[in-house]
Amino acid sequence: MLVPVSYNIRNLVVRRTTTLMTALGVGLTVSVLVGIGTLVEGLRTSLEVGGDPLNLIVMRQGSTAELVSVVSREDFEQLKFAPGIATDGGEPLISHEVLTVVNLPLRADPESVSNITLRGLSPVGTRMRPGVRLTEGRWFETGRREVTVGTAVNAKRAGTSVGDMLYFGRGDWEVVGVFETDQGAFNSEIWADGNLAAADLGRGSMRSSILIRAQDEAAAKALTGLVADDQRLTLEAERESEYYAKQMVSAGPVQGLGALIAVIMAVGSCFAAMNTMFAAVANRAREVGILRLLGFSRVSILTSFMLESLLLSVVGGLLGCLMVAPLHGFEGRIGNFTTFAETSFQFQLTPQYVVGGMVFAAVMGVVGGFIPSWLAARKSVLGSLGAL
Amino acid sequence: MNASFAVELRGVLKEYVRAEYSVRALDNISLDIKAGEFFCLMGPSGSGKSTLLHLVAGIDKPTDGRVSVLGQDLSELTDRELARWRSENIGYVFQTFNLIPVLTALENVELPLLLTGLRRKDRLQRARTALEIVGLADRLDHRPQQLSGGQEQRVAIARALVTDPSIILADEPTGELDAAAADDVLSILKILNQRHGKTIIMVTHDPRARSYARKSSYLDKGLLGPMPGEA
Repeated sequence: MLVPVSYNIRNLVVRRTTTLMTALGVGLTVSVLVGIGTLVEGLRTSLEVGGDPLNLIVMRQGSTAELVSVVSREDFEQLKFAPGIATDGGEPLISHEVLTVVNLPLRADPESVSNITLRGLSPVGTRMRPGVRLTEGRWFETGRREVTVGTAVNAKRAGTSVGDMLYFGRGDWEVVGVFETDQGAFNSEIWADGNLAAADLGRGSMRSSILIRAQDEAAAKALTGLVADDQRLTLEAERESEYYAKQMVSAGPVQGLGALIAVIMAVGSCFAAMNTMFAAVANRAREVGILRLLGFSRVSILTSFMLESLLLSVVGGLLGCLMVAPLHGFEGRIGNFTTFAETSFQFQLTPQYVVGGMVFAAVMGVVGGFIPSWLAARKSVLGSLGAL
Repeated sequence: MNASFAVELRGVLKEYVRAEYSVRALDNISLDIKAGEFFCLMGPSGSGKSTLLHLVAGIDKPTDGRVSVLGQDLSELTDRELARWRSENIGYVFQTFNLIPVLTALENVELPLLLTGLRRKDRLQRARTALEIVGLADRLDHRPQQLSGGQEQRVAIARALVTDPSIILADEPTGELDAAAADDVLSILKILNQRHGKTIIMVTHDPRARSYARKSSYLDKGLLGPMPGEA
């Protein structure tokens, strides 16, 4: 039979200052872990949604990102009528795209300037991203110096409202609309007519990549093989979704550093829990003796103190999750080391990270509480009562 | 082994061995205490009185000799069996009450019943009855720090008797109490002995407490003998 849980709860309440300080330590550790998790989850969502499963992105062999890839018009023409490409109204869904970065200041702090991705697309390019929709104004028109900006750009960057003029390349470009995706990386981009943008940027017939929509899964595989096998092209194709998943590399150092900090803090929190439980066991040695004298077994005593440590850490875990909760939905920006541009994302506190944080807290409680609980349980009745 | 004896000690020796010396707490003790007896054990501090109680309660083991309680040779029981046997047969009252401070009087008394398999409703009913017997029916929800010393000791007695044990061991039960509270506690022990047939084994320094017992012995330097002046 177990010692009643009310005994443990009331002991935690009686030692409320110690309980709170220890729980806070555990909570801070959990908040670091879960906080980093919300950031990574936000980035993952942002970049994953950027890709369609049937879209293939074609780049120069060895290129890790569109920004450093070069694909000529001849390459584009050779692929344009390849078998397996989906069509829309008889028009093949293939877009020859150019990518670069432009400097734009923040709305809130005009002195702060950073790189924003500018994408020039073929006319079908916008239709090849079905998750993309206009929220304001209209799409840019082919042959006109117009841009449509992503919502994240529009929200944060100065001079990106509909009707504003942006200066890049050889002159001014008019902002004619705002688009959004489901938190995709495209929200952090500016889109324009591909040919005009390439000319303005002095790219001639060279672009950065080709986007192809395959008819189906089999066609996607066949097109990937075709690009790889054609010796004239020296190109390679991969799923757009996989390409964006690889961009998660920018989150890697953050995730690694966060995990390292959380582990270091976890060691400290384990010792804090251990210290608290040592004090609890020392203060209640006689009570342990009484419980043993009344007939409670060593296992009951061990379980009781372990449960108390677990309760302590669970309170800490809840505190940690509460500390992170305000981050949910908060919009952040991170530099992408592959594209040298900025990606906007929203912190995402998912149930998985909450559960993970609670489990992490529980593990700290169990690890920190075991030795003191074990020492309490193995003491003799007389030893606990102080008769020895 | 005689069934009419609650406690039988035969040639009991207890030595505490430390690194450089050993202390003989009990030296070849043989003692019989009848069932239903109110037995008082007196003696100076350090004479081995509490050690003898610990052996009877099965929370310590003799170095040599045999301890039999209610017909059970305690050396034959494992730790787990001993814990169960103790919870069913022994009630223990301490000098310093030893209540759990975060639990109410009712919860403290209910504690030993958690090991019995009784339903909660029955446990609480029995705990209330035990507190009524010791005159604390109006203090059920009080925590130990909200009670006087005498009341705390009465709660401890209620906790000792709630499982209806045959033997109640009382180690200096009046040592921390004033005269009036001490009389209350001793009267309750006497009632438990006379009306409820409990065997009471009480260790005390208090000559007045001895007057409540029907039989007494004196322990000095580990040796058992008659009360001084009564030999």
